[in-house]
Amino acid sequence: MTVIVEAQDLGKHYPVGGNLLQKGTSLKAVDGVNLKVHAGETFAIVGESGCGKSTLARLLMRLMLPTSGEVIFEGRAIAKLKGAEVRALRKDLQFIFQDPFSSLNPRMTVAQLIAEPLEIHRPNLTAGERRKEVGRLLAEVGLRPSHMDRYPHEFSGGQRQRIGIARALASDPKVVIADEPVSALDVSVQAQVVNLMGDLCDQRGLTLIVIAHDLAVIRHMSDRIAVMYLGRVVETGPTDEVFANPRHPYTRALMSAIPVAEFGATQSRQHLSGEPPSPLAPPSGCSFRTRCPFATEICAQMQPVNETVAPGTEVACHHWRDVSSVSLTIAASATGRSPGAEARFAMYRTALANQDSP
Amino acid sequence: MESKDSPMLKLCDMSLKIGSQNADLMSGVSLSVDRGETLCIVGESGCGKSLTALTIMGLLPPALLRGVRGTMKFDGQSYALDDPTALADIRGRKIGMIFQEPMSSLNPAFQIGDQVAEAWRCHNPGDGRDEALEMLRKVGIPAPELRMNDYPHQLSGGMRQRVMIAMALINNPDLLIADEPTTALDVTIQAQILDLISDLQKSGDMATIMITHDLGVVAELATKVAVMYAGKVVEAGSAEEIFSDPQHPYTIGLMLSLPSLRGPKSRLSTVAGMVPTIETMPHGCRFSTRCPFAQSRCAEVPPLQSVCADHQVACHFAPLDQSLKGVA
Repeated sequence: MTVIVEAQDLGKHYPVGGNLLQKGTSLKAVDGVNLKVHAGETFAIVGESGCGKSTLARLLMRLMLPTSGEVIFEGRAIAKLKGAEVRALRKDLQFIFQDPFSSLNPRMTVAQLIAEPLEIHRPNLTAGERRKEVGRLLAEVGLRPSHMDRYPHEFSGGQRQRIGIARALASDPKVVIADEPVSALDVSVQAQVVNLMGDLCDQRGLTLIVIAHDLAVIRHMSDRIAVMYLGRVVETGPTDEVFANPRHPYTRALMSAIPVAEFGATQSRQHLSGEPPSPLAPPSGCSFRTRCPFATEICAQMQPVNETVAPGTEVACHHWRDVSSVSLTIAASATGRSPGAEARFAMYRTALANQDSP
Repeated sequence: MESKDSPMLKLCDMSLKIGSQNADLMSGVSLSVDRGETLCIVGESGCGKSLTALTIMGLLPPALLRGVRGTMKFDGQSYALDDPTALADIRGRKIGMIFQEPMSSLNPAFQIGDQVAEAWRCHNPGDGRDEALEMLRKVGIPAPELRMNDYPHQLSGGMRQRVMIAMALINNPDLLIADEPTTALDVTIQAQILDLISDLQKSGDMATIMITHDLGVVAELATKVAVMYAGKVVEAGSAEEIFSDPQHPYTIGLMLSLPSLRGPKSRLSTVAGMVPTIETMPHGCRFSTRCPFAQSRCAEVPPLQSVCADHQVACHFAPLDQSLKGVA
């Protein structure tokens, strides 16, 4: 598989405080991140608020420049690109924003919103062709082309997110980065948008980098996953592998903190005490050690390096062997569903499929 | 004195109509919750969960208050829901509420100790400083003596939510209403807050109403569940019944659209379309426009009827697997 986007020792440090005479400290929003995203895959970045995942996405997209390291897109370092080269890069790298309510200009119609990237990236289209293209894009994301002269406020949250997706697809990009694309949506609408993004990736052969805090959504969408904590990637690997055998104590804590929607299925909780430390004064050594139940002296002294623990899976933890020997099980007391309910679920699926097909 | 067969809170046939709209925003909502129980109200945005909470608290804005009908029985006494003065007496004292956004529901200009103590002062003599300190310690604020003098912006989201909980519980209420208490928080912090709420509830023997859209949170905390759709309760019952034997097509659709952490990854099922607006509200079953099983009979309003002792469903075809055999 070819690598399409790569981060090499990527860092974004912000200077904080300080004056003429005194040097300030620096806030390491992203620190020493190495990633490889393969063409055609869906790569997920997970973490809690403030862990640097959105900063990382903006660095990958060149919406901001790194203070150290490089982003390589199709073999070229993108930080050095200038002018027209950046515009050409934007055609290939597009962004889907989190909040469908504030990311669309309320004074533009949907047709204008989607035509804007077309005007920039495909200037040789005539106005008529552009309108036709807008209609095609709207149909592709499951909206009625006849609605193209409406304004964003006339659409619901899920529909607006579809408009955002249509905008991102207008320039026919190779890579789309989606920053929390479904977190503002209700469950049933969220499922529609997750399905849509999956379909688009399959049909167009898109590479999708998706950022989210909802692990269940991530598990559903992605092929590979990177877990971030305080600006660093602590575990990365194929999604199925990481979910089946989480090895970093933070990944395990994240997974066990999610309430499962089954009655009686309380997980063997590994509750994290306390809150993430301030990124201005991160702990010495491993940044997770202040909340880690496995922490020992070595964690305070040395920053753990990424170790390859299984094919394609890397973990940054001194104690990953001890951690993974503790099993993470879900209590067997879950009641499950009655046979009648299972039958109803199957009927619902069939009825839905019948509705879709004609 | 309350007798065993009258629960702590009983909301009877609450409805809400705005101005000249032809449909009720909320209609026929009846709920009950007793000491030691946690009732979870589930539904998507706009289904009326928060309006229900605000109505019980008597916090509806005057424009909406005019359209409210229904009564509520709390601790043996009856209250008319459109009479906010009677409700003001029990609000904060006997009913505590935790709001969704700790960021915007705390006053940024006052120290948190003062804000917690104010909840005490409103209903009790004394300045409430000692009680506030005790309460802040109980909700797990580290070094509460020092933290009392902090302003909300100095606290993290999780700590702010703990302060909100302290405010809601300082008068030792009989009923706690929590409106999406963890939606704005990260999962690891959410787990801490959920544990805290359930510990406090057990120790205080309160009745709790928890409003959420997260079925995972429901499975974790609820003893009773009410599923709401477009201003109506469509399914209600014990948590075990709802999760093991869901009957209403909307409940089933909701459960199927949740991505799971386990098992095979299949394409997610969805609930097609979207929630109808008040102008386009269907006359009969409000879910009929999105229901894959809808038939002509759905133009009549389905009553909320019992399918077994602890389980009510508002669907003409419940249970689906028997009444629709061979149709679908």
